[in-house]
Amino acid sequence: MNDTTRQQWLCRALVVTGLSILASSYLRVLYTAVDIDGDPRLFFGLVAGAVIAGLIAGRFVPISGAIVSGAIITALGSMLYISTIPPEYSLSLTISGLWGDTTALLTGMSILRIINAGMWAVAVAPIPTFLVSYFATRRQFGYSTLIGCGTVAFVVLTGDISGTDALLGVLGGVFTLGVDGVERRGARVMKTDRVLVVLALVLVVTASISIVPGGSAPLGAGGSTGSGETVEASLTRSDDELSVGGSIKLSPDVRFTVESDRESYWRIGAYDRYTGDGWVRTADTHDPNDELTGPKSGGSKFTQTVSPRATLSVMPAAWRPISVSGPAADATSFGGLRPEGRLQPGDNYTVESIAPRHSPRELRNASGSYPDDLRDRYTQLPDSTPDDVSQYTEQLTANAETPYDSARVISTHLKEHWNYSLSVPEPDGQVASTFLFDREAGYCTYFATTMVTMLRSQEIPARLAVGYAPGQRVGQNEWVVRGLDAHAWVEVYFQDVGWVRFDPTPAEPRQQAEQAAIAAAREDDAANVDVSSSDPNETDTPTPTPTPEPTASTATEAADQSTATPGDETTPETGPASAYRPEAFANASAAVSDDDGGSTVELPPASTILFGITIAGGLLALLRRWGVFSGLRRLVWLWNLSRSDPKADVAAVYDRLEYLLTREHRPREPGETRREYVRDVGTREDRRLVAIYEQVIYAGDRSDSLVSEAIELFKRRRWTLVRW
Amino acid sequence: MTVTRRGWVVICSGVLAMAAGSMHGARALDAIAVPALVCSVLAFGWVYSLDRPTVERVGPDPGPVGTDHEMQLRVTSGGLVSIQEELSGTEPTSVDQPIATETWISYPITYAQRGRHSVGPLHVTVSDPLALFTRTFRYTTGDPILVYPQLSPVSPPPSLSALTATSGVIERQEFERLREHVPGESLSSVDWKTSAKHDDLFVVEYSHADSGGVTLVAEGVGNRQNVDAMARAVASLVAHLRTQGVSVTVILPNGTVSTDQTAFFQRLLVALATASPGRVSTTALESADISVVGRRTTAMVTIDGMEFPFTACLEPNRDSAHTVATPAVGHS
Repeated sequence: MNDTTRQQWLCRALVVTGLSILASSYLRVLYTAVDIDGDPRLFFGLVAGAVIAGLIAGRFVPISGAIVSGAIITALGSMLYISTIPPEYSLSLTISGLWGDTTALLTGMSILRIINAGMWAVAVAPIPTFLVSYFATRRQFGYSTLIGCGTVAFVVLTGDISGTDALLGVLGGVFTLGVDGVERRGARVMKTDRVLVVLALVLVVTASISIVPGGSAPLGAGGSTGSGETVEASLTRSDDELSVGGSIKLSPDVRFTVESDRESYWRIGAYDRYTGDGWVRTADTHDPNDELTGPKSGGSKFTQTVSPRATLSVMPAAWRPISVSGPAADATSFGGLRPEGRLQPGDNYTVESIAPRHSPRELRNASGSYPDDLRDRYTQLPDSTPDDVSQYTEQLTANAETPYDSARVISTHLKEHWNYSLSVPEPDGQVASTFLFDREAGYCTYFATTMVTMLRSQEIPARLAVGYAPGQRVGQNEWVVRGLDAHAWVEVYFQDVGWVRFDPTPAEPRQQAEQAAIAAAREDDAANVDVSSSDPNETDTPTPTPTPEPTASTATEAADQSTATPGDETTPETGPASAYRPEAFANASAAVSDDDGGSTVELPPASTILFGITIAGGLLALLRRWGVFSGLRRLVWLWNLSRSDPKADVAAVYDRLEYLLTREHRPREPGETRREYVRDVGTREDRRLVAIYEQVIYAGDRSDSLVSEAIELFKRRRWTLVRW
Repeated sequence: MTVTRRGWVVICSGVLAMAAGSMHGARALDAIAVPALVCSVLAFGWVYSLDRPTVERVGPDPGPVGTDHEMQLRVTSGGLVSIQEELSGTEPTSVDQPIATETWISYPITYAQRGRHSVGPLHVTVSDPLALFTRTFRYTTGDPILVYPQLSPVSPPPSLSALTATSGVIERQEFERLREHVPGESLSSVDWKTSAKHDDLFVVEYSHADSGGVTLVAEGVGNRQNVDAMARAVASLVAHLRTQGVSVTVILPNGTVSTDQTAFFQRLLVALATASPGRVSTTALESADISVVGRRTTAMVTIDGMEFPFTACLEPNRDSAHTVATPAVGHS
């Protein structure tokens, strides 16, 4: 292959590399959805098929045909997707429904919240991939890059891609365009150095500044440190995503007070879809329920009145609420309440709830067969979940005969064998298996997530619930709830009964941490730590009081539960012994306090390596442009005199001398002999060197002394270079 | 400075990213907005700071219709370069392609029409490495290209042979001059000995001390095609005559060219290339040994009262049309 062809192929290979980087950045995002809820093999098969189809179509099919093909693929994908939507959501298949969905996605709803996110991703992925491949085959890389970057922009708008990955994709696109420009103009690979300079500049600037309003740190900054975040903030946000992170902090500020007939966990909502490193709520953008659904009988009703003491964007209520009066509120599909605006102190509201009536016997007797879509939704685990969790749980629950027993066993096991701690290292990927096998301590999110994972691995429907634990009891029917009471627990579904609460977080150690936090805040005279009734004198070491059980059924429960471990089921923990803790859901970039002993050296992620290479490439290109390399090469050449054969050595010495003279004066003219030249521009020593040259080369005198003399002369000579 | 379509897309993406961020939260939109900003600013600065590129050209040599040539040029610039050029009298008539800088590049042209044709104007478009912004510079540096009439090898009909026999004695011992072989001429007149010593083919033109020489008078009337036909006939005939050692004086509407001028054949070709419709005086036409008249898109050659179309003189493998010579009307 001659040089021109080789250069062309190199350039084309570079262009294809750039496009691959671009495509892989959005494909990776779509793959996370497939991993959680879909069929990875189908995904890869379709993507590969789309690439090949594009390659073929690019050769033979004109633009109009490609548009038709793209439309066909889109139609097929849509049919595939629509066919897998659960029936209760088929209400959304109107134009306005689709418009609402698309708008929601583009304004920040994660694709993981789509009901059948996996199939959606499988249907969507081939479309841009086909088009990118098609236009690439036709060497219209501008369109390829446009489509690829457009898809990356889409996943940026849904918030599913990290800044690093998005930047990587964009850089791939820029690289493609740049190299294509070079390839069209007599492809020479070395001419792509300009592109590298552009890339390096883009990378450096993007890592340093942030220009989009509403943003926080630039992408390159390390992100907020986890230990400064109060998890309560992210737990009780009305956001629909929850990521499990590193270390957290307790917030002692009072949030609200509750007057209630019964002690309860003040629930905000639940999450149904586990992503491996966090939770999302599957979407209900057009929720058919505006009201609270569910039977209004079959349990004991009680009322609670909540008085916010700070601004709340959530509406805690005991499970299961059936009516609410006060500020305007919506119902969520998980039976929770959501205020339409924010609640300010003074926006009191009253909720009537019905506590589901069930005895352990009823729960044990609940059948193990569930409605299909409920089971699918609440036993979902990502494909990439390792098997070890499932095996561990199977062994653990080998003797448990019913789902109820399994849940009890798991809850007890976690409470007894793991400690409570607020400072934990960042989990990597799989929260449950990391917690079970690599950790000895964690906080409520870890306990709850692990228990749900273990239950789901045994096909028992379960979900994560978040809200506030009962709080500090300051009267017969009054509780003070603080930020540090924010909590996460587990809800397990039992056929014909409903959702039942389990709390696997150990109570005691927590309590201590939390009391310490309150005491410290009081010493520092921090504001908002107490309300009038939560005076330090009375409440430093509150005595546990049994919760009065107003109804007969719960009395039998209490009797039955003599061996029940605290924290399970609907009887909440007494007083401060309740297992509640502030939740810290730090953002993924929390600082790691790594206290594991032998931590292995970790390579920086692939994106960092690529970025490093890009910046290095840009620098090298700039240096090359400024002639640094040729200058260095020249310097080495001048300094390096290797001795082989007398004639070659002397000739080499003369060449270097001539180079110096050319730089100092003028080049040797054609037809001018060396002697004439040196006599004209050189010094006396230079003339001696030429004489030696003539002696050795023409007269064939091979004596070593001459060669050495020539070399010595030159060595003295070349120091003139240093003068500049 | 103009913004390309790509440039608009980049700028709009940046603006839209910022708008989306301010309305619904920043998410990772910085990864779109900042690169868009950086690339736009960089591209703008790059193109803004570019100097007017220097263009060097080597025009193709003159040649007859139907020959392939190359237009060579070299552009020096700091950005990515594309050229657009308008041509006439050649195939293709316009060129628009991206080119490499700082090396000689060429694009092929084929001479299509006889005459002196202008080259250009040349537009050089420079852009940044991503082609977001461009600037176009205009140049009129092209030398005109000269396209000679088509030369065809001649196999002489009897009247022509008779004329050469009587008008010229071939003295092959003395040759007068060498001239370069013009593409299209018959290869039988090439002097191979001389050509071997040089890179090009050379043709020997003989001359004689006292030959009367032949007068050839030609005109083309009406339109360019007639002149084209006439020119082709004249050039081919004269080339043939010269290789037979006959000295020729050619009288054209735009001038007279005779053998004893230097570079005769070249002058003739130039004269023929630039010939336009016109007439010569009737007396000249009547007193000529050979007259060539181009009309109705063919060239009619009259020798010694015999009139025949020029196509009858062509070598068989070239043009198979063979018409019988007919006596010209009005000549005895």
